[in-house]
Amino acid sequence: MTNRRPLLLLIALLLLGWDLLVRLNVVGAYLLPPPAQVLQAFQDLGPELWQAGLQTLSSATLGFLGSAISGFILALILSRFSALKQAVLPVAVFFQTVPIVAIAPLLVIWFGFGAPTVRVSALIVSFFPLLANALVGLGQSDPQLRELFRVYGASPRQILFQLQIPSSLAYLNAGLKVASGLAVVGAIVGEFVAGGGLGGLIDSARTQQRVDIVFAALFLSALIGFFYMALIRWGFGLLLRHRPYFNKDSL
Amino acid sequence: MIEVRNLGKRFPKSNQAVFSEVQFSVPAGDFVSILGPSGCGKSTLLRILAGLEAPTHGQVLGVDQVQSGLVFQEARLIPWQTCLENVLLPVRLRQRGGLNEASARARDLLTLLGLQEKEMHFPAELSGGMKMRTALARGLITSPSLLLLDEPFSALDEPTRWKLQEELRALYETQKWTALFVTHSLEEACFLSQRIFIFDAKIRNFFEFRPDLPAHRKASLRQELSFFQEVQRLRKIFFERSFQ
Ligand SMILES: Nc1ncnc2c1ncn2[C@@H]1O[C@H](COP(=O)(O)OP(=O)(O)OP(=O)(O)O)[C@@H](O)[C@H]1O
Ligand SMILES: [Mg+2]
Repeated sequence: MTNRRPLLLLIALLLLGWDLLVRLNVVGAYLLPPPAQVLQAFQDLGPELWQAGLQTLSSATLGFLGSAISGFILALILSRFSALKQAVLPVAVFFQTVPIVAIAPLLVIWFGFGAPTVRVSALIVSFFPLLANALVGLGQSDPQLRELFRVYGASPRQILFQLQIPSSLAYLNAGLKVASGLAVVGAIVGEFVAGGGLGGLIDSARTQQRVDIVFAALFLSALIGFFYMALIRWGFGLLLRHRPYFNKDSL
Repeated sequence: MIEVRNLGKRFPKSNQAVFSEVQFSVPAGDFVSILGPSGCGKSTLLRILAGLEAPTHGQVLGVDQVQSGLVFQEARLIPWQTCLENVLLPVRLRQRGGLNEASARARDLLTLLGLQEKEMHFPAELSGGMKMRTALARGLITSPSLLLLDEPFSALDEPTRWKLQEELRALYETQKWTALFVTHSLEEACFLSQRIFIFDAKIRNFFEFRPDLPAHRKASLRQELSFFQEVQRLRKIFFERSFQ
């Protein structure tokens, strides 16, 4: 069990420091609302805030699942056909460098206002990290074990499922964690332009100078990220309980 | 019967052949050791026989890859699989015969090698000798007619080596597969084999040495004078011809 006390202490200190910053008038409350005011916003807005949070959660989750599944499948295909990999990877890297903020308006034109645009935005942003990590993971299985599999006439399929995928778990784990965080970013950016969810809420709170609502929404979005992290940790933890030596480096 | 004819190997990188015109035959059921200085091509020869490397010229007859097992210098176990699962890998990969029946055979092998308590352990939880035993059991699980072993015991301490040599010899005497066993240890070669192929540095080829020892060999053989004498005889020939 990890010791949670240092973390809780740090959080308490940060909250205290934040509160003092505003109380001592170092920063104006209109720029940085004190913690109590953010809490108040949660109460005032109540259902509306949670609703927005759920909406973002749902879009980000769909985008994340879409990117995780398609990224993994593409990685499987590319790792099998190296010529294809050499063709596709540079293109993927090129698209990766195009900022999502620049694509988002285009997505609105293609998918309209609302959830579909948001999902696609989450998918696009979280797609590459998983693909890249999975590709590295699938390609780095122990050459000595590969030779062992060859001695016993393993088919490409057996090598994939019994050697490459198990050896790539640490990479998949890292890729999933990065992708899940980015999916939230992608969803919120999508909502900035397409409306709805926490992104929409932040956007309208901004125009009303309601910094407390912006903060409340930010917290919720961070919470979504934490939720994904916890879920991924839990999933891999379950796997490792039965198979403690999936990879030399810890997951 | 395995026949190696005019076998030669040259790696693209180097302009000198590792060996050429290697010629020998091994009757079925013989235990043959291969001795030679480091870098003379023992592993390469074994890898050619195992089908992992293509010879530059010549041919190998009588080796059916499906009927052979290979034990590497390192245990090469899959870290996330248990001892028992590792032993069963060849059966799973070749998908020949039921896994249940193979599991029973794997357990028998593990018991024979003193690993019955460890079948659910992962490789990281085994000692070096236990890992090597697991690898040995994996090499034997398919009941191969030919077993290729590349210095399997070289990383172990002497008493463990002796123990494993005795276990290997006992398995061999009951199962009578053909074995090609690469080693650097003269005692090991003498103890285990009927025939020893020694690398001759001058002609870059192998010649044969037959230790004059009984067919049934157990631990006590090491204490006998005849064993000392045979090792001594081998040592003399080995140093005369294998090193320049
Ligand atoms: N893949 C390879 N590419 C190029 N040269 C190689 C390759 N594998 C082996 N060699 C060369 O072939 C020669 C024989 O190597 P090999 O591994 O068969 O020696 P060995 O007799 O097994 O030695 P040791 O007793 O140290 O294990 C060496 O000179 C080595 O450098
Ligand atoms: Mg070698």
